[in-house]
Amino acid sequence: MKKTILLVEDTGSIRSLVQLTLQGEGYHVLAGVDGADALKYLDGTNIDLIITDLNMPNMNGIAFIREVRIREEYKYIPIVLFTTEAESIKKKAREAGATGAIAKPFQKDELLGTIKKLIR
Amino acid sequence: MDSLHEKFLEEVTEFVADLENALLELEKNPENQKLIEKVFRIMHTLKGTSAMFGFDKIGNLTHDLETIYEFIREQKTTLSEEILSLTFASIDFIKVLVETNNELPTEEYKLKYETLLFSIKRKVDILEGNHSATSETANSSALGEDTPEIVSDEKKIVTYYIQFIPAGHLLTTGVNPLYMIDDLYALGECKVFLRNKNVPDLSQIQEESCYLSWDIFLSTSEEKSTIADVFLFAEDACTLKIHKIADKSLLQDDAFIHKMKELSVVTEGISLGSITAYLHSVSKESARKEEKAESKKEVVVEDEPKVSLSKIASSKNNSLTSIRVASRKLDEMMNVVSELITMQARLTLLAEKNNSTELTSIAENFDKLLRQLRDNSLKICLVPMETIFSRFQRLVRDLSKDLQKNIIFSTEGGETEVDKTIIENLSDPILHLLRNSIDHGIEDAETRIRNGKSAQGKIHLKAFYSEGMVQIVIEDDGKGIDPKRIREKAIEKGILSETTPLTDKEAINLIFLPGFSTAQKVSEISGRGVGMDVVRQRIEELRGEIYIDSKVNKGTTMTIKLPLSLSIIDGILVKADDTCFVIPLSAVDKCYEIKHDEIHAGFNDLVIIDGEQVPFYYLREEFAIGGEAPAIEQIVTITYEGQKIALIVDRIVGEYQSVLKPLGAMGISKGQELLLGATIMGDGTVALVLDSGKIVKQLLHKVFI
Repeated sequence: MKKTILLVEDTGSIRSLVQLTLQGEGYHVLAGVDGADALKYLDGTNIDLIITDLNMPNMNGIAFIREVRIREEYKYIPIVLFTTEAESIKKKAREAGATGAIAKPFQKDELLGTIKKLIR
Repeated sequence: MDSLHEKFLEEVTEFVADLENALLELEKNPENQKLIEKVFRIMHTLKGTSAMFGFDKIGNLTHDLETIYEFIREQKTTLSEEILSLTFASIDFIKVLVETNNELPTEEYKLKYETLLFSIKRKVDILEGNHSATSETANSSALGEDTPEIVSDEKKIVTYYIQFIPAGHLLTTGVNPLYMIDDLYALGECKVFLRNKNVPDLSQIQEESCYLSWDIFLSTSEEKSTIADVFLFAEDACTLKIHKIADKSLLQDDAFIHKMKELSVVTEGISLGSITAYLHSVSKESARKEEKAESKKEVVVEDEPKVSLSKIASSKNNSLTSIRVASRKLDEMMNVVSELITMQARLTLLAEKNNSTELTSIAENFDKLLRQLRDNSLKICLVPMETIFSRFQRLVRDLSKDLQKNIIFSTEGGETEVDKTIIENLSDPILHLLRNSIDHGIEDAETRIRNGKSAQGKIHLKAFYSEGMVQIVIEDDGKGIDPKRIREKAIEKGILSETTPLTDKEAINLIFLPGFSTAQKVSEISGRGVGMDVVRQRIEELRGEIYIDSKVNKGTTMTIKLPLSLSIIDGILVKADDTCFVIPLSAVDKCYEIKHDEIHAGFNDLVIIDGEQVPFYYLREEFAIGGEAPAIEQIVTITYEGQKIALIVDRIVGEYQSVLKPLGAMGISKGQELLLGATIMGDGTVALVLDSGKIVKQLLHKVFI
C-alpha cells in the first residue's frame, strides 16, 4: 500500500524537488502551496504523514499544525516541519504538535531517513 | 531535474524583484514593520532554496543578511543606510550568480564577493556582540567538540541496555514506538522485552495513551549517540536510558538471555541494577573457571572472524547496485544484439549445409548464449512506468485546478517495467487520454452530486503484466460515453450507415476513427486538433492496441496493451511455397496437420480441430502465392482475445527469433496492415512477420475493435 504524504511548501522549486524525490521513493504525494491551501486535504483523505514549511503566506507552518491537530482524524498523524530557525522555534512547533523538524537546506537522505523513522 | 533548475532560477528572479521593491519602499519608510517582515521572509526563503539547488554563494550571502534582518525585525537594531547598501550590493551579486550559474566570472568579482561577504559578517558580529552570544555560535562550538572524536577503524561490538519508557502521550505526537524498535534491529542484534504491567483494566483504558514500555538489549558496533538518534522524535515524550553493559555481544549467551527472561516476568522487572549484579556474578565464576582451563581462549578467538565476516557483508552492501547509462548506448547495444541474431541465423544455416557435427554444436551453443544475451539486453532496456507516472500527477493536479474540478488521481503498478523506447513514446498518448478524462469525463461537483456521486472525481491509472503484454488502464468515474450519441454522430458524419448493427462497445470504439470528436465545446485542453485517432495511431506504432469501455454515468475505462519489447520477437517460422512467414510465438496455440482436400471440402471456411469448429485463414490464398499446395498441410492455431483461428501453411520450419525491421518505403508497405514487419533470414532472404491480432480481427470482420 502506497503511503500518502501531504507536502505543504510555498516555494515552487522546493515543492517540486521534494515531491519528485518522494514520488521517486514510491510515496503518493499531495501538495499544498501554503497552510490555507493544504487545509482542503484535511477532509478525511487518508494521509500518513505531513511535511510542512514554516514560513508561508496565508497561514504559516505552526498555525497549520494547530489546524491539523484539532481535527479528530489527524490527531495522531506524524508531522515534520521544515525550518531553519533555532531551538525556540522547534520548541514552539513541538508544542503546536509537530513530531519532528528538518533544517533547510537538507540532503535527500536526511529527508527520507526522517520519513522512514515515522512511517513505513 | 533540469526543469526544476529552471523553475528555481525563475523563482529567484522573482524573489529578487520583490526584494528590490520592498527595499526601495523601506528606504522611504524605514520603520515599516510589514516591509521588514517581508524582506526577512524573502531572505529566509532565498537562503533555504538556493542552498538546496547548489547555489551556495547565494546561500552564504543571504544567510547573514537574514540574521541582520532578524535583529531589525526584533527591533534590536534599526535599518541603517549601511545595511541597506549591503543588501542592495548583495542583490546585485545574486543577479550575477543566477546568470552565471553560481560562478563568479572574473577575479575582480571574486574579490568583491569576498569583501561583501566579509562586511556582512562583520556587521553580524557587531550586532551579535551587542546582544551576547546567540544560540547559533553556541551550537557551532558544540559541533566542534563533537568532530575530533575520531572513530577507530576497528569497531568493536558492545552490548547496550536500553530502557525505553514512553510517556502516556507519546502516541499523540504522531510517533510510533514500534518503528524505533525496528530501527534498533537495523543497528545490530537485538533482544526486546516488553513491560506491560501498567496496562489497566480494559474498561479503564484510554485508547490514545501508551501504557507499554520496553527493555532492550542491543549488540552493536554503533556509537551511543546513534542509538539515541533512533529515539529522536520521542525525546520529549519518553524516559530513555542507554547503558553500556558489556564490551562484547551478550546476546549469544543463552544463560544471559534466560536470566533476563526470568527477570522480566518478576515484579521488579529488568533494571540496570539487576543486570550488573548478574553480570558481576557471572564474571567472577568464569574467572574461577579460567584458572582451571585455558580452553576458553579459543572461544574468544572464534569470535573474531565473526566480526570480520559481518564487516565483509556490510562492505558488500555498500558496493554499487545500479548505474546510469546514456540511453544512446543502450540503443547501440540493442542494435549489435539484433545484428548478432541475424548473423547467428547464418551460422546455423552454414552448419546445417556443411553437415559438420562440430560446427553444429558450436552453432547450437552460440544460439543458447545469444538468447541469454538477448533476454538480458532486453531486460536492461526496461524502465519502470513510475518514471512517467510522476509526471502525470502534476498534470492532473494543475489541469483539474484550471478546470475547477475536484479530482483524486491515483496510480498503481508503477514498478511495471516497459521497454524504454515504448515509455518515451507513451507519455503523449496517455497525457491526451488523461486530459480527455479530466475535461470531458469528470463532471463538475454539482452535476456529480446531482447524479448521486461523491463531489470528488476519481481517475485511476494502473499498469500491469498480462498475457505476455503490458497493460495500462485509465479509469475514471465520470459521465461515461453514450453509445447512442456516438452512433448518431457517426451516421451524421457518414462513417456509419444507419443499418449497420453495432454493439455498444463497438460503437464507443468508433471514436478512434479519424475525424471523430464528440466534444460539443472544443476547450483549450483537449481540443487541440489531436483526436483519439492520433492516440490510436501512436499506440499502434508501438505495436500496441487501445480500446475503450464505458458505462453512461458510471465512468470510462481505457485499456492500452503493449508488447514488452519492440525490436526482437520470438516466433514460429512457417513456409507457404518458398515464402517464409514468422508468426509471433505469444499468439501461437497448437500445431496440427490437415489434408489439402479437407480444406475446401469444409463449409463456410471452417475446419474442425479437436472437435471444435475453427475459422481458418489460408495463407497461400490470402497472399496469392503460386505453386502447388502439398497434399498434407499444416495448421497453426492462434488465439487473440479469446478468439481462436487456424492459419494454414505449407510447412512449419521451427522456432525462430526474429529481429523486426520496418517495411517502411518498400513497395508492399501499402495495405500491409496484416504484417508487423520483416526479418532477415540466415541466407539473406526476407521473411514477413505476421500481425496475428490483425489477422484474427480481419477474419472475424471485427473492424472496429
